[in-house]
Amino acid sequence: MRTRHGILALLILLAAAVPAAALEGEIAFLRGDQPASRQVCLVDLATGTVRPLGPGEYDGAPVFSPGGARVAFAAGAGAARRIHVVHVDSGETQVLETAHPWSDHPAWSPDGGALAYETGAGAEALPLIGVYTFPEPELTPGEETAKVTRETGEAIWAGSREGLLRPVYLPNLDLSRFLDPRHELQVPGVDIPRLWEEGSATGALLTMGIDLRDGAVRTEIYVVTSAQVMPLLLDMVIKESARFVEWGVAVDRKGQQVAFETNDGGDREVFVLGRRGAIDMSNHRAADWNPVWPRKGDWLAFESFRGGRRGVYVVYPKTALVRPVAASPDCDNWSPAWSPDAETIAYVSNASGVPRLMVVPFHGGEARALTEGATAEAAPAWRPRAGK
Amino acid sequence: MRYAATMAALAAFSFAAAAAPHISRPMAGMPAVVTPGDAFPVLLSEAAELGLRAPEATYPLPAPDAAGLCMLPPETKPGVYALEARNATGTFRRAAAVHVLAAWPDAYTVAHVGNLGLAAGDAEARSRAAAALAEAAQAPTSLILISGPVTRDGSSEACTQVESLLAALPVPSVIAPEADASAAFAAHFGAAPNGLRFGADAYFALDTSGALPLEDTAPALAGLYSSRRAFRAARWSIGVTRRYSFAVGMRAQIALFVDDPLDVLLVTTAPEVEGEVLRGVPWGRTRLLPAPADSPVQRYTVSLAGVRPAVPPGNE
Repeated sequence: MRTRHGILALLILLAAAVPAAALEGEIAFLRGDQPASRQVCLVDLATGTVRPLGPGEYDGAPVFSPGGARVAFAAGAGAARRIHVVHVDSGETQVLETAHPWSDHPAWSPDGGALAYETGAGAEALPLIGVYTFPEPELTPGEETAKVTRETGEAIWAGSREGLLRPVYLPNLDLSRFLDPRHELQVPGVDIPRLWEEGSATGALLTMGIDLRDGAVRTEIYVVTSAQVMPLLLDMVIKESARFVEWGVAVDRKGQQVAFETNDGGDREVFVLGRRGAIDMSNHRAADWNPVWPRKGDWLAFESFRGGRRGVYVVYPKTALVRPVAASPDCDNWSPAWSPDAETIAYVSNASGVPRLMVVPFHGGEARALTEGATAEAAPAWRPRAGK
Repeated sequence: MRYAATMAALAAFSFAAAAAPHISRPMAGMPAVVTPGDAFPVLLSEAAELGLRAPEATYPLPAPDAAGLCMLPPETKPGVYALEARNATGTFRRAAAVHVLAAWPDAYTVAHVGNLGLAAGDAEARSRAAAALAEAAQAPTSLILISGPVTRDGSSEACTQVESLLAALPVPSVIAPEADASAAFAAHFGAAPNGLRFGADAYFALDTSGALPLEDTAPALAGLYSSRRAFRAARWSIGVTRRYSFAVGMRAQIALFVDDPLDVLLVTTAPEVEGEVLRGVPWGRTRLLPAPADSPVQRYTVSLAGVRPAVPPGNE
């Protein structure tokens, strides 16, 4: 009896010693009060230890490879801005050799074997899309990766078309099943069957496209392969024919849903394009933007001003149910990033007066700061766990 | 334990009571522009008695409310006032912090000055800036907007020079926060607001400085969007920036030129896209009004008819 009580007391003591929401894993983020000094850093969630990964020269937002071994980001300003790839565990850094001096906004291929990015003559130039292929894909054989044969090094995609920005990889070509217009529409200058063939062979991207013809700007979402560019033809799925300004495209892990922003409806909304067409998921008179898919589960995170301040919300696309995750009338919360198991969301909050990293359980619970100090933080990215 | 906590509380109280007050806002460069009976925001370091001081009149002010707003007495005469904060340990004064207008004008002239570029120890830059500001302040100017780097070196000395030059002007002058991302500038002027109301009109400052301006991750983006929404009902919405480039942050451009388009964007440098000078922001509705290359000051008339370059004196 005495022993049983002793064990019970020990268990109670152990439970009290473990924080209610003990976190594991690592988050890469930007730290620095001014753009010139911003540095990519990594925080270990179990210990709170922070270590630098980037050079601290205008470092850009970090993006983890699908297996979590490497992190990519742009760094530098002035004459050159280059894509840096850091092996997270060893700290070894590779600066990509690119033909143009200014590259930004990298995005990993689904197998971790390539990076797509904006590249061009400088910050003021309309960018091209570059794709840098590494000798080996990151993910191990047996996992669902796009098995393609490619030459290593840099290639300029989209037939060298200018004005393409913010590339994201399509995990597969499932989109073509419900967007393929080969029997219905002709797109001048685009060989649509060849585009999908190319996509099958070398992969395909979605990018934002800037069209500056006639002195007016239009933005659209484009499907991009090594030699082809095709508008995503949202007119097929959005009934209105008026032209809207789209931005912030994000593809879900299965490649079956594309989230994006548009001002269709009079203000900025988050739409999801899937088998049912393009549907307004956020539908509110205040701006909704920056959709972010998790690696697991079906919810979509986004930012909204519906509460009067910038806040983080989630929507369940099948029902368009929206609920707040980190929203307050007293501060701004932004830049949501899902944990690999989609149980926790990291974000940035200025509740303390300085932008700081926070985490909050997705299913509800108390938000808490991840780091200490008074230096501004931004752009969290959760490290994926290999094979998950 | 209780004793220690009590001593700590007493120490904190005595520290607070011993500190002299400091006024962070308003100040010359970021003044309160009000009509009698209006409220204006005041940011104080310590509780203090407030007052408006001018050679010809003095007005005690009520303490700011919980939101930091201070009500201007309805009997206040129009003029330029110093704001004074006083407590048991000292007095702090901000020269030319409050500009009281008799009424908001329906039509007025605004002057845009770019690139003051003051620096520690640079007397020539100071006299050049003083001349440009004196020209901008000449009648019939009602408001001066200052964009571009107001200091070249971001030094504390240059910031003090800026404040003293602006405090000597008879009309309110507002710094658009741009290209002055230094610790000294932040310490001296604090975080500048993104938006300003001047009567029926709203002004917005775009910080397009630096190699990576207005990024999507920037905290200022929320302030820009919120100000734009808050001032949506303005007669004219007017952006102020040193330069416009299509390369500035896309999300900020979408907020200001697509979702809630500004009517006009005042720039000090004529913008180009692919070698061609722009007449409007290429997103659509926002007109671009660049300053002439041969003048540091550009004046505009703002009225029911719109925002137009003012006709120089003698050329009417």
